[in-house]
Amino acid sequence: MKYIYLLSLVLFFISCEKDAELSASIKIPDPDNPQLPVYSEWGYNTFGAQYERDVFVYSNYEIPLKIIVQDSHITFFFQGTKGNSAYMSLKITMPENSIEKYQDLLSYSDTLINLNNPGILVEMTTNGTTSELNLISGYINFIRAQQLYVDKIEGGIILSGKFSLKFLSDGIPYSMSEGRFDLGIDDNIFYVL
Amino acid sequence: MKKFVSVYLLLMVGLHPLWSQDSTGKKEKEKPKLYLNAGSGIHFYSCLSQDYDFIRSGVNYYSSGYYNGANTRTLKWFFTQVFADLKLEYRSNTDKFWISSGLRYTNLRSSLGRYSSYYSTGSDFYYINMNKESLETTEFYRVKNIDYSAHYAGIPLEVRYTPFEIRFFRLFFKAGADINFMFKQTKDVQFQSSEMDINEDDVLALFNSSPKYFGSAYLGAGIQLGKPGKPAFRIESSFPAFVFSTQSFGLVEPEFGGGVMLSLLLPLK
Repeated sequence: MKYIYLLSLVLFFISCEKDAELSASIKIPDPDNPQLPVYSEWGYNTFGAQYERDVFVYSNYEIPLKIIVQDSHITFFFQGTKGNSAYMSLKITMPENSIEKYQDLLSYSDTLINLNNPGILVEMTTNGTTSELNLISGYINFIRAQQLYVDKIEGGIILSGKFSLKFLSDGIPYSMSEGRFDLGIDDNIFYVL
Repeated sequence: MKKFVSVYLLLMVGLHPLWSQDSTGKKEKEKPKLYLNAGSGIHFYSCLSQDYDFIRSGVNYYSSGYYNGANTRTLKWFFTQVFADLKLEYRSNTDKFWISSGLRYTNLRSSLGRYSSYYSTGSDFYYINMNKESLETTEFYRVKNIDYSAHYAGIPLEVRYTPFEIRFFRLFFKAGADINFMFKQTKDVQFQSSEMDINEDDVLALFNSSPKYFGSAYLGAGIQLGKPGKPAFRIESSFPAFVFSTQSFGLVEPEFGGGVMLSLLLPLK
């Protein structure tokens, strides 16, 4: 019994350990817009969107996506930069009762969510200021959610999709378009509070 | 200047017997026209960059006093042609043209590994997506290297030309080609984890095999050491060298290459 317990413990840590390369962000430039990563479904840990005349993209110094489950809500917290340097984040919070562990996100595959739906909150942090966006329109489309195996051992899930939104700020409309994400999800970035 | 011209003229007069075809006043011994040529050589080839849509891009980090960065070159390729010949060589009446043909054994070796350079750090394996068509799962196998070794029997044809004759040392130029047919092939996959060895066939099924037949062509030059009509030793280079086939070369696509060959010649008659 003791040995079965020890073996289970070893297998648990093996299954939870993620190769450093699978955690890194790998940019394959979009040939149509080289400032953005191409849309992919490989778990390259990248995201990007055209934001006005600049870009909102992942950064090698921040975790690109954190997922937080709290009080019957789920938050997708994208962190990156505006252009090449200034910190920027986009937080999308929506009602969700069925997600308890990261594997449950597989149910999001082929799911299009209208960001104007009741109960959905979109916040943006830029220039050191966080503000709730007054959305004109927007969506986030989870095109594919896949179970990942590495050498036949479970290694997390891959969440890939696209997003776009338009909002008003001080009466002026702004646009974030051509958004795409390709992210590896495991226990390290999934939080249940 | 006068001293230099005098020494030069003396050398030319002194070496004249070595350069001339006939020695004045001597009857030249008849030189053999047929030689047995046994040799071995190797050609290295550069390869065309290839993208495999089932191999995940990797990242290599560079850290130096001037540059910290990364690139996503993932793979490195390697392709060599090792061969051994047994040929008959026929020499023209003027002993300037040498034509040889016979039998050739060739071993084509190719490999596909993870790219790294002296200045970069990163994983020493790459990820192969084993079920790219699936919508629900992605399954990666971690592979360090894939090696192919294919064995061929072939027929070479080579022509060499030497512009002048010296008693012991002869410079020549060559053009050659061969046609080869496979009789054996081995493939090997090195996984990051040895427990994955049982899945070797699944990985190999994603790649083409070495061609059942191929041809090669090459130009080159070399030197032959040995007295006329006696056993001789050759060292020669080949550049450029090309391989071609109507079939894929498997792991890699060779571009062009070059190499060296050593051989021993024995006069027959």
